Amino acid sequence: MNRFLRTTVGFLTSLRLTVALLILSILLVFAATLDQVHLGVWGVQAKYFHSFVVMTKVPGTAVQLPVFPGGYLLGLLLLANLIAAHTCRFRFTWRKSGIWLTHLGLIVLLAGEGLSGLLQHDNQMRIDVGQTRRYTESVRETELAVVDVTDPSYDQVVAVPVSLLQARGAIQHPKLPFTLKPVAYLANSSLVPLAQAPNPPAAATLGFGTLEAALPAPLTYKEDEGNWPSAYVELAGPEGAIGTFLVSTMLVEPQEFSYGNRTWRISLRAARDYLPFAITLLKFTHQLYPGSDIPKDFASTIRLKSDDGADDRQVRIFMNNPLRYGGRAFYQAGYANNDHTAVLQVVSNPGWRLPYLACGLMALGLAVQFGIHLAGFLRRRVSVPAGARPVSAPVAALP
Amino acid sequence: MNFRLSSLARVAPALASALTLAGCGDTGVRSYRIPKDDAGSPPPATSSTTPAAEVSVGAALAWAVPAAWKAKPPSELRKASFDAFGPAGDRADVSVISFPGTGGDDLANVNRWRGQLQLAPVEAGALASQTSILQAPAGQLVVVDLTGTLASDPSPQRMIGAWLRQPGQTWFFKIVGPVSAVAAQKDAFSAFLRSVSASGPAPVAGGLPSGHPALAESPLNSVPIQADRSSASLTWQAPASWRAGPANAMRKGSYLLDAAGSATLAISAFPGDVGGIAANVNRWRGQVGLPPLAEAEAQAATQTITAHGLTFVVADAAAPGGPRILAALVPWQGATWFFKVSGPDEAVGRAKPEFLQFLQSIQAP
Repeated sequence: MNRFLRTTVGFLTSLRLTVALLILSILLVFAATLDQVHLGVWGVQAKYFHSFVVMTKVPGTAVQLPVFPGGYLLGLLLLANLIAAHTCRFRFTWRKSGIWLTHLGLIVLLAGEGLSGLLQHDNQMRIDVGQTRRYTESVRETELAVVDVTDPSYDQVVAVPVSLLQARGAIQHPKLPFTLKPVAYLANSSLVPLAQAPNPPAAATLGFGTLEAALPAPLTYKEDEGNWPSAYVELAGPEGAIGTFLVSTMLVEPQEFSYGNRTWRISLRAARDYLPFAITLLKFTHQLYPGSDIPKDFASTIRLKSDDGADDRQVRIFMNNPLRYGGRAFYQAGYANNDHTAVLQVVSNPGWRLPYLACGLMALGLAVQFGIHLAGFLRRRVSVPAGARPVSAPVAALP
Repeated sequence: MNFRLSSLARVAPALASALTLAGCGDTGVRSYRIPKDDAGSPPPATSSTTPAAEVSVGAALAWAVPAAWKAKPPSELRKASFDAFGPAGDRADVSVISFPGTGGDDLANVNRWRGQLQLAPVEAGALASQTSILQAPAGQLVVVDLTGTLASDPSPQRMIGAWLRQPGQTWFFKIVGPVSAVAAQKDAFSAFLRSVSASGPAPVAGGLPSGHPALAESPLNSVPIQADRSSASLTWQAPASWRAGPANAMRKGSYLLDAAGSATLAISAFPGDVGGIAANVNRWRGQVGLPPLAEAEAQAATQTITAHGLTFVVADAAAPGGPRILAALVPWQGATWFFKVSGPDEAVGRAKPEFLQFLQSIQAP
């Protein structure tokens, strides 16, 4: 055990590890930059940086092989390396307190980035003037929502992430009297009339899928294009199959059906995050500098009303002035529908303060270290006898 | 402190298991309850301007609403929604829903509604005794009148429901509430059903096959705030009488041009010339059931309007007494912008002067 511990400590405190990790990080950034052409910025971020290992498909097969350490692994090792080296190698002295503070700032920065990568959620809220919304929607993630709308006062929602649809296993949930069995999942798709689709991925027997079929479309990673997932989901009760629905993000309205004396709605939609407060868009202002396209003022005046009644106030969200509330930041991100709709970027990141703290610590550390050196230098100057000091410009030589 | 590569092999398993644990995300099924009002809030233009009487419109049907009914904002699923009151002020709920497909067979519909009122299902043989037929301009409605209790309310409830099958779509009309309220509103509801008529192409699903539900708007179909000329948009001034239409698939804008909402304007932009003038004119002709024209004829069938340095090519294709498309296209910054009015011949004709005036208001930023 001692040997193992020594090996571990030796590995983690090694300066060679630091150099190796930095070189690997440079290579990772380089490879990711090149691959951005194929995957787009979000794809690259997920594959290279928000992963422990970079996986690549063996050409011609579906086999995925790890080929390179991912961003999380490199960041975590760098963090461990920094902490281990400090703990085992460096001795704390007041003369080096600035260096310690700077490194602590670096540790906080690395930890903050790791936390952001794992916990940050970027959502959107599209809201029309006069409309009230109490949920945000993911731009990239979708979910299968099965909603029991029978009760007049509330809707009971069961939201299934896409990963389970892709896994194709039967999905059971205590709130559902039937089993959901994903038959096909298309990460990007187009809808065509059934007559034009001789070989649909599956046959829907209920709802919209009896009219149209979803056909697979190539995935797009372009910044200005989106993917439109669709899925075929079979519902089965204890008495056997109920039927198969085609659900698609292209459909605005959920499809309704009755089962077990209850009314249900099924839809594939942008993954939702419900808020403990409601936002009503009172006014949207959009101004450009006269005669130009340069934005002067984009602002959403909203009414914020919390469920617990603690807050009911107007807030103006405008460029670079987000609303921070309930662990989320609402940024003015865009507009649509001839200025009728405001688009707010909603970021939830529990670690958003850490980069500020890290920068503060590093700045303080550098200032302290510089101050210590300056004080030492000044002290030495004072302690040297005046006659021994070199005179920079002999006064007597001046004309 | 010397680090050898072989030591990596010893440390790796422990490190890997720690990282795997750290990487476990939330991938499970979530379940939660949301208050009914939040299931989907209606677009404000509709909620504030839907008249309580006169004529209201769904996707492709129109109906006359009894003056005593109080319009409620339509929800995501409901095309229209009203409160109707009994003599004691008790409230019945009137809903209009459309659903793609046939909506199940008649027996399934009857038994579904019977189930909602805690009534036992009936066999196919008993179907005729459960239903009656009502003739409306849009077609034949099958009507069911049931009394029972709701699962959530033990007091007796009555439901009169009807369905109307249209190509690719089934419409459900339903009044449900306390027995006295529904009895008082029965005649009004029957008159309401008898007024249901086809109002032309769907205002929100122009260009889509009949019965095609409205398509979602891409989250990317919004203009990010940046001083980038390529993302700039044409601007326009809509007449005060127009109402903002529902946000829709890849639309830059959407308007309902008359009180009934039967003539609609969709504004969209696509890269390139989208086939040129003749191809677009013939596409629109095809959509209203007119034969295509030769290229020179198609070009000649258009008129040109110039405003604010933009040259609009305007085409008007009408099938007499049927649907009509009045559309303008304008090339701008490598893309073609389309302003397309669709609806019944008469409604589009009424909206034409205002539309041509509207084109004059369009300008580049």
